[in-house]
Amino acid sequence: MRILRNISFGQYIPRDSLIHNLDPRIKILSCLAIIISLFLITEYLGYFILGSFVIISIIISKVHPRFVFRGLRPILFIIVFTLIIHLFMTEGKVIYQLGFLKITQEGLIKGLLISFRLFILILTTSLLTLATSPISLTDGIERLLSVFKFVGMPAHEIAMMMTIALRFIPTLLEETEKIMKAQISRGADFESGNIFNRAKNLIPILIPLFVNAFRRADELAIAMEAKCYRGGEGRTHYRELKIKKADILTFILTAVITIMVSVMF
Amino acid sequence: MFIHLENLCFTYSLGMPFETEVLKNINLEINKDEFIGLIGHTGCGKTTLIQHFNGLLIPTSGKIYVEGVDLNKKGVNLKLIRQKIGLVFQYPENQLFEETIDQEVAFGPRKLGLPEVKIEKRVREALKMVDLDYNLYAERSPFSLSGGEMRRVALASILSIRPKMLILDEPTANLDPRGRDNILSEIKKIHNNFGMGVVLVSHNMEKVAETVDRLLVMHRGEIILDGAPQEIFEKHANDLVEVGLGLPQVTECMHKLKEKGKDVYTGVLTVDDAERVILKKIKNDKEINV
Repeated sequence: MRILRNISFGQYIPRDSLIHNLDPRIKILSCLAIIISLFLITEYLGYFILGSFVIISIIISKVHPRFVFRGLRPILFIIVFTLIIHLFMTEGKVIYQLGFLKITQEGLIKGLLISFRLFILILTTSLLTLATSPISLTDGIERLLSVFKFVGMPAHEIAMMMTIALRFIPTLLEETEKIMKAQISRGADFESGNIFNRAKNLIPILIPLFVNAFRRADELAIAMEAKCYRGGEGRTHYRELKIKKADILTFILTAVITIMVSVMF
Repeated sequence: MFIHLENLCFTYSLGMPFETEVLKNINLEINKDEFIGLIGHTGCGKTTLIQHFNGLLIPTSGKIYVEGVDLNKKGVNLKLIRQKIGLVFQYPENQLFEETIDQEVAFGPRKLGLPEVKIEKRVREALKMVDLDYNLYAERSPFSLSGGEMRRVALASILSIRPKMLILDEPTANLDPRGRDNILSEIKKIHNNFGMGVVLVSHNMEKVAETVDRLLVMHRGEIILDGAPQEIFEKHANDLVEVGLGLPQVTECMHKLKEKGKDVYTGVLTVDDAERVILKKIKNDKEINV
C-alpha cells in the first residue's frame, strides 16, 4: 500500500515564484525546446550547461529539490539499466574486464551521456508539472493545440479530457487503497503466492475500482450536462492567458541557450 | 480483555510537509462481548483508529494487543487477527465484485481454506443473520440489488468469516431512516444472539446512542469521554455540546426541561424512556402538592 503514496507524477506544489507565475504556454514550449536540444547534444559540456540551467530554474521555483528528485525514483531503474547495457555492449577500448564481461571506454562515455540525457529530461518535466497547476497546464496545452484547429484538432476536448484524468488520479489512488484495505479485512492476500496467483488476487480490487469509476464518470457527465456544458465551441475562459514581459524574456533566454548548446555541442 | 491499546499515536505522512497528527495518546480497553459506539466528528480519527485494530495501519508509537498478542511484533499472523476482528468499511457495497451473492459471501471463508460444505453452511448462516433469504438471493448478482441490500450482502461477507468482534464504520451512512433502523436492529440482534462484540462508528449521536451499551466520544484524535450513554448524557452533556456533537433530540428536550426548573433525570435515550420519566415526575409533583 505504501507504493501508492509515492507517486509524485502530476503533483503540483503551490509556491509564489517566477517559474510558477510564467505563462503555461511559455513553460511548455521552453520544456519542449530543452527536450529537443537534449537529444541533439553529443558532448558533456552541453549537458552541463543545460543541466545547470534546469537546476537554476528549480532553485528559482522554490520547490524543494526533494520533490523534484522524487520524480526520478520510478525511472532510476531505466537509467541504471541503460547505463549497464551501454557499459557492456559497446565495442572499443577495454578498461576493465571481468570474465567475459568487458567495460569499454566508449561504453562508459556513451552510457553516462544517455543517463544524463534521461536525468535532465525527467528533471525538466517534473519541474513543469510541479510548478504549474494542472488547470493552467491544460489551459496552456489547449491554447497551443488550438493552433492546429484548422486541421480538425479538437483542442478543447483533449484539454478537458486531460483535466479530468489528472483530477481523478488522486481520487482513484485513494479509492484503490481503501478497496485494498477492505478486501484485506475480508481475508484477501496481495503479498504472497506466485505471479499468476497474485494477478488473480487483483480481481477483488479491479472490479470494484472499475465499477466505481464508471459510475463516477456517469455522474460527472450528468453533472456537466446539468451545468450546460457543450464542448469548446464559443466557450470563454475565466482566466485569460496573457503573455507578460517576464514570459518573453524567459522564452528568449531559453531559446538562446538551447539553440546555442544544440549548435555548439 | 479483547483489544487493548497503550499510548497509541498515529501521524499521517510522517516527515513530509503534509504531516498530520491524527491520533494522540489513546489508551483503551475493549472486552469481547461489549457493544460500543465510537462517536466523533468527521476527521476526528475514528476510521484511523479502527484500522489499527486489525493491523491495517501501524501506529507511529504505542502498542495494540488483541487477545494479548502484540500486533506490531515481527512475525505476527495478521491474517488470524483479521479473522477474529471483522472490519466493515464505510460504504462496504463499493467492494462487491463477485458474480453471485453466494460467491461474494463465500469469498472470506474460501480464503480461510474451509471445505465447500462448510462454506455453504456459513454463507447460508451469514445471509440469515442479515435477513436475506438464501434461496431468493444466492444466485443473483450483487450489482442488481438496492443500496440497502448491497450493504447487507457486504455485511454478510464479513460475518461469514465468523469474527469474534465486528467493527462497523458508519454502517448507516446514506441510508434512509428505515434502512438505518433495520441495519441497527440487525446488528443488535447479531450482538445478542451470537455474542459477537460490536464497535459501531458514527458521527451521528441519534439512534446509535440508544443501541449501544458503552459510548466512546472522540475529539481531535483523543478519546474525551468513555462510559454508558445514559451516564454521559446526564453528566457530560455540556462537553458534548462544546465539541459540537450535540445530544439526541429527546435527551436535549429533557435537559431543557431541567433548565426550566423541572428536576428530571436527563440520561434518557428514547422517547419511551422520556415519557416514563416525565409521567413519573408529574405523578410525584401531584403527590407533593396533595
